[in-house]
Amino acid sequence: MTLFHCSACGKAYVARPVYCRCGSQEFRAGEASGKGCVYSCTTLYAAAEKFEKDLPFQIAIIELDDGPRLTARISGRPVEIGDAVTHLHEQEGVHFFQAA
Amino acid sequence: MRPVSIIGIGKTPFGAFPDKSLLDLAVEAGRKCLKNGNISPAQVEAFYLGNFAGPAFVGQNHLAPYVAAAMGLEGVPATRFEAACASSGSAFFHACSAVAGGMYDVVLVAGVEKMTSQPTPRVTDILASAGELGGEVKAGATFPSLFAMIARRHMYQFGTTREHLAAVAVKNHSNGAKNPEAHMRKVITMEQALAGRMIADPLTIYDCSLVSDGAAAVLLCPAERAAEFTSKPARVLGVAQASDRLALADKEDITTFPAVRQAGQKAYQMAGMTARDIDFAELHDCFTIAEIIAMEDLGFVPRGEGGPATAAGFSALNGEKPINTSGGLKTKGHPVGATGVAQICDLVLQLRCEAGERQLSRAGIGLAQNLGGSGATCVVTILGR
Repeated sequence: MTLFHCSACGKAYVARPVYCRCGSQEFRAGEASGKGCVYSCTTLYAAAEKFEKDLPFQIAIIELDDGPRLTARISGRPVEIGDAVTHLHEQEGVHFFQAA
Repeated sequence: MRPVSIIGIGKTPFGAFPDKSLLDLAVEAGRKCLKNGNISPAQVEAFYLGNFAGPAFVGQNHLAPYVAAAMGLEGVPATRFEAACASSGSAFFHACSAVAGGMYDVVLVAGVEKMTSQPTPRVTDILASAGELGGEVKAGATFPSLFAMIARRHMYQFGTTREHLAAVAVKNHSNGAKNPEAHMRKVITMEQALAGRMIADPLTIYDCSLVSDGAAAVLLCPAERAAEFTSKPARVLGVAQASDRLALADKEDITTFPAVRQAGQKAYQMAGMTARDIDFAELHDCFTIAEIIAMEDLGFVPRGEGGPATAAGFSALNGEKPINTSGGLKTKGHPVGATGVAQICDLVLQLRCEAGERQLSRAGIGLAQNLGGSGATCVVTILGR
């Protein structure tokens, strides 16, 4: 998966921000390992209209080894807090992860 | 800065009212409030309206002058405030600032939401738009699922249990059953709460607040003029609003809300008080875990102890610090844009000793905490007599 690194301080972001927290506006896009662990997660049994067809499904906040966190969908077997996960693919801006 | 008082309150019952429009609800609350404060519409100098998603729920935009005109307020500045579920808390904060700063004397603040005209998946959709669109919403997150992740992390870090969450629901159902204006007046048992239908694990239907229609309003004036209008004014001792990032993934620790801590500290400072001085509170229990974290962030209990304290009766009607004597968002109902001002109305009822069956014997200082989204806005208000 692609991450955006601040050219001034090196901080990594999942989506390109307008400003880095250090004040810089220069970013380099770079490939990341896509490895991380589960910071928190939940399985949904009720969803907004667009996602009702996917129920039940699991979402998680993933902490990437490169630093930033993101909200992502989990594919395959359910995960728990602390589980190692890897990036599977990105689809229409949504990142999918699975248990490592 | 001039001290500010609340001289009138007015609320509609909360519930599902298919025959009442957003306008009907807002006007009913506003007119009740004017009557309660012995104020004619012509005396009102400005109108502040909290509303989260009128344009999405009922299709009407430019809501503040629309509501003001229907209430008979002619020509006054009328402004809508949107801060997710803290919309009317934010309207109240800004109205207090204007009266305290000397801009106006008599100001009407209202909050309204008409939610039940839409099917539940559509309501979920509209509510989710208060989350961060780029990451959370795209991934399918709903508000119950965001607070479910908060709850899971709180359980992981502090050992909070599902029984602790259920204890909040049982308490608020017990209080709401005593509130004639509550949306759901039904006592539940711990067993029922634990066996509820799962929405986003570990949160069941009993951990979630209600989708409601309703409106609430309060009248403000400088404290020095309060006696002209009422014999039972409530004094705004402290009021503060704070903000934070929208996305949970951008927060360092999701088991605490920096905006709640900041708004709390500022409100305590303004009132010259600490958590110990607060007799009772209305906390934003959009989900049971939110009440537990608010207790911790406002310093009522140390971090991680909100669950055990609730289970031990700390926040019960006869506890050390009663929380959500109204039944809270859980059972009183949560018409999101009305909630902040409704909490203020509930504090005033207790301060005036007009809370009926749920009246506290010690109700001198009350605190209201109104949360927007998953913590990106918080308004904390401290009231006294």
